[in-house]
Amino acid sequence: MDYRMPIYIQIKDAIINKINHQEYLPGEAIPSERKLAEMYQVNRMTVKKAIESLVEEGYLFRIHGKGTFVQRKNSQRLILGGEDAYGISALLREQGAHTKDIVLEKGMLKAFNYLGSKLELAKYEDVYLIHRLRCANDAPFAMEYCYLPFKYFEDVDEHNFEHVSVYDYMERKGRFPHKFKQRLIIIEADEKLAKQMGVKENDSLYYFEYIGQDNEGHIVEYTESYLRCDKAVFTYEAIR
Amino acid sequence: MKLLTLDIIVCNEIKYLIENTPLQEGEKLPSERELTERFEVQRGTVRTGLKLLLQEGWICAKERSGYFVAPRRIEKNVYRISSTSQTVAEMGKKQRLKLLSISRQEVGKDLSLKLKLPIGTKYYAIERIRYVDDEKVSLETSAVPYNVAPDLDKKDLESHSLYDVLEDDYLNNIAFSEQEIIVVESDEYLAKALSIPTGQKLVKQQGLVMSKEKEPIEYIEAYMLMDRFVFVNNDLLPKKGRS
Repeated sequence: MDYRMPIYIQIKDAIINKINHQEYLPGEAIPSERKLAEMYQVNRMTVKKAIESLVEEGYLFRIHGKGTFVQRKNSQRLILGGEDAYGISALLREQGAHTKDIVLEKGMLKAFNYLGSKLELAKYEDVYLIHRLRCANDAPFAMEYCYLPFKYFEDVDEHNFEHVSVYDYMERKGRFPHKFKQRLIIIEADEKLAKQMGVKENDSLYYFEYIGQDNEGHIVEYTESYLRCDKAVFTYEAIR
Repeated sequence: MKLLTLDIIVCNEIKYLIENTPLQEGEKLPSERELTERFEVQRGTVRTGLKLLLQEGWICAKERSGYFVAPRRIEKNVYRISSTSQTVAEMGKKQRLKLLSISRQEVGKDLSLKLKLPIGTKYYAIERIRYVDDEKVSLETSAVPYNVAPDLDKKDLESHSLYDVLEDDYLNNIAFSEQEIIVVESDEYLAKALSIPTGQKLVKQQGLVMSKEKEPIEYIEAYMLMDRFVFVNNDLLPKKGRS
């Protein structure tokens, strides 16, 4: 920042710096316009202009009669990448969200043609399903059906996947999905899904399918995951 | 308690038939009654299973004649920058691009942040409609800085992929891109361009394509019909972060 730049831009920059260095924390009020004007020895209109611009850019928000606050990270949409080895929870936590997983159902089922083809299992082989609702900051964020070939995870039922990460568990079994395939489409929530995920019917959801392969070349995971488009944005980096 | 309800199982088994080609694109699905017998379930279960398939765009309903396998989705690779034209050709589908407009513009504030170039930089604004099997599937807009491809407006952008032109004619080193996928609703302009109702949901892919030297080459904003595209990586990629 150059001292010859317009003053309101310099003030904006100073405030952004304080947000970035966590001097002003998310959810916290910044000093009043009057105080900032005193602090920087400038006209109050100049401060007002800087703040208006920061509100517009999403750094700050105003509550009438209370003041101006630093935008919480979680009110922005969470960034989903395609290839994060630590899973959704870690990704959410990294971005400052408080996470909670609820196991809706779990247990054994038989693979028919569909699951058999996804997991490279013979028909009627055992599959273990972990069906979880994943919440971020107390709101449903994702609905996940995780299918594991039971033959690789025979003690899976002894673990509580509300507290234990499925990926940590898989890693301990020496069956971490080091490689993965992925498909993403966007769908509209039906009545049931809308209710479970706290959205309106026909709201958009990301629908991901993952197939994970361990280092020995076994398919160890097939996961279907519905994510709220209003809570997340899917980003990716591609190479030529 | 039953883990997966029967309607989900029926839905999945029909997906299997579609993915593994006993059921071809455009083919009529067996009737509800036949499916009921085949899967040994109640008719209502088949009906909700079919509803799930409709919702995910696997099948479409034609009034009075039943359900048909929907056209296969066009695969957009999220790992490789590849031309959609090539993908569509590999699927054995007919496609063409229609150039709506190409014009010289100057970068304004919004685009300057996206393209990472100063305000006032000259660029080409390109708008093309993609047709697959004679149906409009997407509106693709590109902003290409003038210095990346001078006289781009003299090139044939209807029969060549933009990347082919940028690489072969202008010797650009396209290296990587950062993209995001969101959902938007069509405004009047998009509705008209794609011949759809206003307010219809569209998938929007947007992002920056850069050269090996990290110079901006193109900023893309593509608006795509929701049930015609799938974003994939089929290559069993290594995950980042753990070894």
